[in-house]
Amino acid sequence: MNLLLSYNWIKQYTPTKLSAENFAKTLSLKGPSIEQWHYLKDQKDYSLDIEITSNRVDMASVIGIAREAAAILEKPFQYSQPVQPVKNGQGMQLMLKVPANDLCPRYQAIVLSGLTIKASPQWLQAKIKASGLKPINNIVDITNYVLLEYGQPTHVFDYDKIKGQSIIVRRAKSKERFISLENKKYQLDSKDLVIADQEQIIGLAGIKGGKKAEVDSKTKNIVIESANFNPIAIRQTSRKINLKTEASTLFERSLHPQTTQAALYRIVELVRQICAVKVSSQVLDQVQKSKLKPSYINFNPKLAQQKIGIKIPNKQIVSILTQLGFECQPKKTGNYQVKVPFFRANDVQKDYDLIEEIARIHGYDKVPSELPQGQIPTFTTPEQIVFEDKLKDLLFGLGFTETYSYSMISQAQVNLTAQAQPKPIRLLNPLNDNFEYMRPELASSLLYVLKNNQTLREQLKLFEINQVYKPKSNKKLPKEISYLALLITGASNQSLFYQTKGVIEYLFKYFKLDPLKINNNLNSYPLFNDSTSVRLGYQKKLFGRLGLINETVKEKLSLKKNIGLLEINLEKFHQITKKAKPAFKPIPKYPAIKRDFAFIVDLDQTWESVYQLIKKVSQDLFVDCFLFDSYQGSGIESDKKSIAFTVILQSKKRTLQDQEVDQISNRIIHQMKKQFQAKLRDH
Amino acid sequence: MSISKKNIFKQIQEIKTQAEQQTDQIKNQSDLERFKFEFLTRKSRVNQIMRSLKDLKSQDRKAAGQAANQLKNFLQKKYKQLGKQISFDKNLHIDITAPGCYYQMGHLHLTTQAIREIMKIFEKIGFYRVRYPEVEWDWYAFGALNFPEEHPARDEWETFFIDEQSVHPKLGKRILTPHTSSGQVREMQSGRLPIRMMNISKCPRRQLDVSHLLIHHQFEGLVVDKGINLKHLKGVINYFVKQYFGQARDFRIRPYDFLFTEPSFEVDVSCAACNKRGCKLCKQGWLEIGGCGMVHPKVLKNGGIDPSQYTGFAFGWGVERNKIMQEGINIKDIRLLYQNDLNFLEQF
Repeated sequence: MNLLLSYNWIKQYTPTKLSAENFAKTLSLKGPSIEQWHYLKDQKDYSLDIEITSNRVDMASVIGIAREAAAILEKPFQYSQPVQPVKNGQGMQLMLKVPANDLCPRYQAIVLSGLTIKASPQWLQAKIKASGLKPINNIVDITNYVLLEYGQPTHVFDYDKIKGQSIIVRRAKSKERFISLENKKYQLDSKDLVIADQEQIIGLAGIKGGKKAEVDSKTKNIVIESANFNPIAIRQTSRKINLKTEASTLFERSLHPQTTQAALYRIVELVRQICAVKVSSQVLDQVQKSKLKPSYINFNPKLAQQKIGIKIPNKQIVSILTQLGFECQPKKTGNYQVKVPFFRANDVQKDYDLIEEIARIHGYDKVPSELPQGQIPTFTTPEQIVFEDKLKDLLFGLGFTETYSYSMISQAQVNLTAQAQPKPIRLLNPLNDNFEYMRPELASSLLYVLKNNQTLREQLKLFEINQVYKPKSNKKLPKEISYLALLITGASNQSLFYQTKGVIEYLFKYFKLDPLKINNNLNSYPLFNDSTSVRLGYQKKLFGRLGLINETVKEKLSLKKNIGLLEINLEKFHQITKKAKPAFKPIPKYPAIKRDFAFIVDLDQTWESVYQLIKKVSQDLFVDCFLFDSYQGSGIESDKKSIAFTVILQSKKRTLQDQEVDQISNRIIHQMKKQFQAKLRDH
Repeated sequence: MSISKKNIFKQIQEIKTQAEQQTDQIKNQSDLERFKFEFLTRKSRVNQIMRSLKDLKSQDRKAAGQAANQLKNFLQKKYKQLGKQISFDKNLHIDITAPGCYYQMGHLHLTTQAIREIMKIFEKIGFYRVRYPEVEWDWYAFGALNFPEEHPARDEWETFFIDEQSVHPKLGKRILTPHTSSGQVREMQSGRLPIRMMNISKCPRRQLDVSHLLIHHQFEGLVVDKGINLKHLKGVINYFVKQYFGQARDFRIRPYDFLFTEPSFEVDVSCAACNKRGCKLCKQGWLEIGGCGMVHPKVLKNGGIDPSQYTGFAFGWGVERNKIMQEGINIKDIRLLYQNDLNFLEQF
């Protein structure tokens, strides 16, 4: 939370000659962060903008900051407790009952009489203005003044509007109504803590005052409430009804029950001074005494050096702690018995909490910077992560652009691949409909990226490497698996299929795997058609799929271009690449011979079977065989195609003779004819 | 005129040198003809030498003859070569101002680049990278890190939930971890010591605006060893700041509050634009990098490590946030990083 406070006011408690800027900078390094300071011409004052971390609600006030500043600047903290008010007016009865004392550790109240509502004096107005508040009237301004000064929210009720002269701190009844000072209506239930009179709710505890007992211009007699409430209860109610106030913000961060008293006394002091009222009751006080007990820490000063890394003399340690309000009693063991001041009871509970106090006041800048000296771990980044990073480089080299999409996707996006996926994990509280499910695949994300970049370029090559989330059961975490998806656009469908396939073949070659073999294309994946897509496998292990995006999907997403897409499970693929053993192969001693062939074959003749045939015929002389042209069209019958390929032969034992090679060539031609009815093309 | 062997050898050398000197100046056909005329016609000096061989003493004639023939061969070969070169150039029409061949350039995402820069720095001082679940148990993300049951971070306004009710007796609900700190206890539970972990993962949060992404990456450093203290935390921050942001940048730590570190700090790096004087890009001369602190003893205990033996420190900072704080990057709207607009992606 951020807070605006008057610098002059702070200086009343902790005198300093520092400029506002230097004050802010010094405190920021050792305590509260003061982010800005604004000069206020009218008040000749600075308004400091202070960030209060949630553990230090004790600093959310003028006194809190002044106390902290005194310790940091080594200045006296000039504060004296306000005195207990003494009843001096005609007695006015007030009953206080706290049945919900588990949610209200302390409730203090007092009745004052003879008030006249009017404007507050200038000096008071100036101070609350410097803290960013608007003056309203004397009694409101005084409670705001004390809120700023002590950080304790209080409330004022019109005594004469309280039915039965009773204040009851209780849980709301089911569906009980509360009308706030702003005339807003809220419906409450038994989880909400309220302040009520005998009939109705007069305040929503720790959050907002009610209309019922509101102070107005005719108010004469008042009840001042200074109480402590359970932070969790306040927060829950505030969240539930969506009403956040300065009071609720403070209570949520857990104020100490001891703070109520000084704040109440201070208010009475000011109201009496400014408004000439009489005190018409004792201070009513319902408190759980156990909550007021101070706590002690057994502190070994040697620990400070161990944890901070530099030696700070005991004398200085004691002096720092004392300035912060701790009391240090030396013990025979060399340790200290440290009494924690009530306002720090929440965040200082153990010796390591004290070390933080010592270190920051001593100055973090005085601690040198040194790299750890210890042994460097033998463990190293897991191979899987290194592998994925390597893949990014390979794809980058092939001209692909990397994308990152959100892990959450919409129902529409889920629907694209829904048939092929188990039901993805749904978020209980998605930000909106676009981010409802944890994505079980990456392909659809890439298609959406494409959709948003359509008008731009002719050829697009995109990829993403990221986690997908595969649900396991309702009681287990999903399996998070790294996937690669990539797509290529900007060519004919035929070309895109081979371009996409070329990527996985390139990767196979890079990782020194045996050539990719395609045995089946029964894919049934909603993004593809069966005839233009394949599953990818290696030694009978499936690890991915590739194909052309089908027309249904293109239409759904209004994608205009042809798209080749590849998606692989990188955990599986990584395991596969680990099987390759790139051992040295002896450099061949004898030259290789190259022969080109061109055949006319049936349109559905597969390359794989041609390849196998060549390999078989060439026997141990086979080195490689690759297709360099496949053509259908003019000059060739419509149910035929021409294929042209190169065969490379080599012997490990001798230089091949032309005769031998011719023999094999003839055998190839013969077998091609016999098995595939292939016709050798004329040159 | 009497001719000596010495004289002939000298002449041969002279002619060779001359011919070599001239080759550089031969640019076209007529230059080539001039070369031929000078060195290879009947009246050329080579032929004169050939003719004078007969006047030599018989014992010198053989050696001189060989040298003269070599020269002649050399000149003929040169002439042929030059002829080829000239016809080669003549048939080619190269517009040297036309663009070179197009190779499609790949682009790695800025986040990937940032992660690599970060890892490169930390790997040198012994850190290794790990990755822990993004869909995580409440216990790892909050419980084990000292978050009380009712802490606002556990609120459905800030964190994404999968389950309404706890589905595991100890680990609680499944959530999307909003910070990489959830990896701290997981790393401790691995049993590897000492620890120099760098956990880089996606962290979803329920906010999306100019400075917040629905998902951003965090890099979480965790060091646990005997004798680790505040000096070492500062040492590692200093090392990172100088290497990532530049030698001229300075840093400072300020007190802050996190539940799982004690003490806790906010780290600022000096603003490069104004060098700590304060400008519109920074807060009074400083930019916030993120939080850090000494690992809370209870967190060590939750990870199965004895806090009386071991201490540690941790920091968890935004990958994208730190990237755009590097000098000169000049990205003001962090959402650009995840819009996947190629006009953006192709700039990096």
